[in-house]
Amino acid sequence: MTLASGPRQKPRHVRETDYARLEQHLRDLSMRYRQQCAEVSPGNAKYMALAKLYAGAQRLHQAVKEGAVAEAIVEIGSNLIGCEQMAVIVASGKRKNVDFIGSVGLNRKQLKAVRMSAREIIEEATGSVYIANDGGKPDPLLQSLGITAFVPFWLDYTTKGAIAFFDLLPQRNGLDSTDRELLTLLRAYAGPCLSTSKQNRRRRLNECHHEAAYDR
Amino acid sequence: MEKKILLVDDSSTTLLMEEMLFREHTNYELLLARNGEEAIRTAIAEEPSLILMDVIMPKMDGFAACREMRRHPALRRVPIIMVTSRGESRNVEEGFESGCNDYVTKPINGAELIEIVNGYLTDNGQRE
Repeated sequence: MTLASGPRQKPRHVRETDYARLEQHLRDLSMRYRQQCAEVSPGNAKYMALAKLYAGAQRLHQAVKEGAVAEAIVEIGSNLIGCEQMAVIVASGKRKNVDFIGSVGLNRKQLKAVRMSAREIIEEATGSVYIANDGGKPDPLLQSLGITAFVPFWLDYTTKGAIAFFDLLPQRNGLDSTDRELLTLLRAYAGPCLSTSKQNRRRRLNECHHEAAYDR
Repeated sequence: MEKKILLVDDSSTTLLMEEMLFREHTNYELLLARNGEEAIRTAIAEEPSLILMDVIMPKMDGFAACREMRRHPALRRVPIIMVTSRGESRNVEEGFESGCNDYVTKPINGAELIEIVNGYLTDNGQRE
């Protein structure tokens, strides 16, 4: 959306209800503008989808440390999908412990709710991406937490962690086909990237131990 | 001479996306910065034709950087477009008060962004 001039301030003589109606009108115009942009340029949507997938894949594969992988996942969620609230959780120690390795926008209450249900979420998860209100079977647990989309880290036929997407940005009108592709990309690559980052950490630790032993 | 655009964002994913978009669809020379401070330094040194800047960044956010740029004589008239997560009037107003000319919301819509940027940089679409 663009505005030719600004800032917008409610003039004193305009009633609150009228101002709210005007704001709604502006939002509708913005929505129509976006739709028309997509219609005018049919190649745009396809190009944007490919560009997002490329950027997402490259970002994930550039990340070497666990923290960097989590950061990449959160960046993909917030900047490419437009998710306002999300959490990245991983299981460790034969899935007995669950750690948050990244989150954005969640309030304390939501974080607590996810933390309390995290183990259950991971244990119940299958290898497929879950999208709420997608016509599939609703998941009562994910639904109760207000999760919009859920991407498991599926490795060796077990769920090693997950990304939980909560609210999208207000200008997002649900998940589109490009978002679904991005979620599939995350499902395919986020788990292996995290696993590789852990292996790298172990390898570095081993190298340090060897060096220390050699120095002695 | 090719016009220069300064892209400012702390997210390398967004910078990569914007770079791909502009390289594919335009001939502008691209300059990159990862935070507000770096953006100001680059803008003063390179004097870009347009600045596309994220709002939430470490060290110095987009609004503060925009205000600082407007104090510099060479950057007073350079169009600044803010990239914001939320297009709510409160955020938009703060953006305009800081001196930006326009804004786009995340996630970026390629056609919309190119159209806005071209609108500012083409001769017949030059906006003040």
